[in-house]
Amino acid sequence: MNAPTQSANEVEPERSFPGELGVWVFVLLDLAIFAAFFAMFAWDRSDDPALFNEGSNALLVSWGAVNTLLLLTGSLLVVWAVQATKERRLVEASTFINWAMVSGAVFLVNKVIEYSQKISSGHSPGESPFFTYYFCLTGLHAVHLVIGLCALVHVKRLLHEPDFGSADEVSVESVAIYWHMVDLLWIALFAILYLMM
Amino acid sequence: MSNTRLQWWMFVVGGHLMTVFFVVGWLCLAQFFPPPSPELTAQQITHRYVENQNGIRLGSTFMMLSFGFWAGWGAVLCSWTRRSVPGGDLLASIQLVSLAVSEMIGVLCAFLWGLAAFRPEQISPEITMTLNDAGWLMFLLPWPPFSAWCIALGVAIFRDRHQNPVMPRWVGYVSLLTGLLFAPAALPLFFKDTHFAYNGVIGMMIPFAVFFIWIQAVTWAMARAIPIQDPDAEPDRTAAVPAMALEGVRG
Repeated sequence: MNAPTQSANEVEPERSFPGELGVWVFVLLDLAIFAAFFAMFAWDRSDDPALFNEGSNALLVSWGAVNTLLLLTGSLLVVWAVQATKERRLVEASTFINWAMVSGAVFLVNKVIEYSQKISSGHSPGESPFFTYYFCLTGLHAVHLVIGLCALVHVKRLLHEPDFGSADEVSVESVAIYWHMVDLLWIALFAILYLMM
Repeated sequence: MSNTRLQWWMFVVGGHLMTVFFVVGWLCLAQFFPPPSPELTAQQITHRYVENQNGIRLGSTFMMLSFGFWAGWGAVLCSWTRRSVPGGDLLASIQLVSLAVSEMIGVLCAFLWGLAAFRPEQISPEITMTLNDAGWLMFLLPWPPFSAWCIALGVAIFRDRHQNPVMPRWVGYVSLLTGLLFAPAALPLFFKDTHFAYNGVIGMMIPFAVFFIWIQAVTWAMARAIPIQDPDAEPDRTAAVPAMALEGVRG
């Protein structure tokens, strides 16, 4: 996601929004698609609320809460990383990115453990519409998170380059925007899967 | 015909015709919306194919015609990738292979639907149901080559370091998102009901819609970079040429 470089003689135009346009197009379209998924969930839930409540009861809110806390912490670390990047404290920014990656990785480990527990206690994706949504939506979110971790690795590589410039700063902001979107999606999933009754 | 004019016809006209022919075939002629449910009985599915036999046959024909335009459209993208982007040879090769496989998949699913409509009144309803299932699952399950195509193009767009790139970077982001959003098309193999089945919003409609939205977005974005020249005029060798053509000369 490296933004194009500018020649040394060109004045950098003032940006009216963080990151680059394309990442906002990506985020808004992805959120729209997930909104469609949530609408489908709500539609199916209205057909059999008791079944969906039973499914929600089978999930441990504490698991979801810990995961929410992990991603919120990760987002805070990414915010600090972006701030440090703007002030060219690149080593500090890299450290924040490291810890953000740890929070994301721990989230994924938690997810795998939670999936294993659900399956071993008899809750498979085909068991009921609720668990189909649970596994598919959280699974798709996990894929987004893995992509986010790869993007953070790319950010670390940029932060260690000797000629870090304004274009690289835009790339860091763009990855941060994507990471926050992943966090936002999880908060919505936590609310509708774990809390909605 | 100048090279630029040829590219324009292959890419812009071909891109729009590809979409129009497929949508007319699938939606208007075959009347696959709303799609048949996997939960229908063999008799119900056979009835649908008998009732709209000619429509499905014509629709299958139109869909297969649409795939004739994919080669030229995709080839313009491969050519741009190879000439203009660092690492372009590899990315163009990935696009070319993915395009060829995707085209084959598309032709096969249209063929299977056409075959199901060939003589449904004379064969066992279970055979018609199986051919119908085969068409829909062929339409959706082999999504990875389509994702590879989108992702290869997205990466190529991000690697374009020109000051005024031919492709705007937002198209790269849309390509990556499209590649990701094909993934739910894997679910219809596991579900015969809910929105994850081959007649569902998540299992079919979203992957289907994002593909043609991607085709149109890429066609629109790149069309603006292919100038239209009068085919009867002498080529003006002193005029500025677009970056993509210039890179081709430089090799």
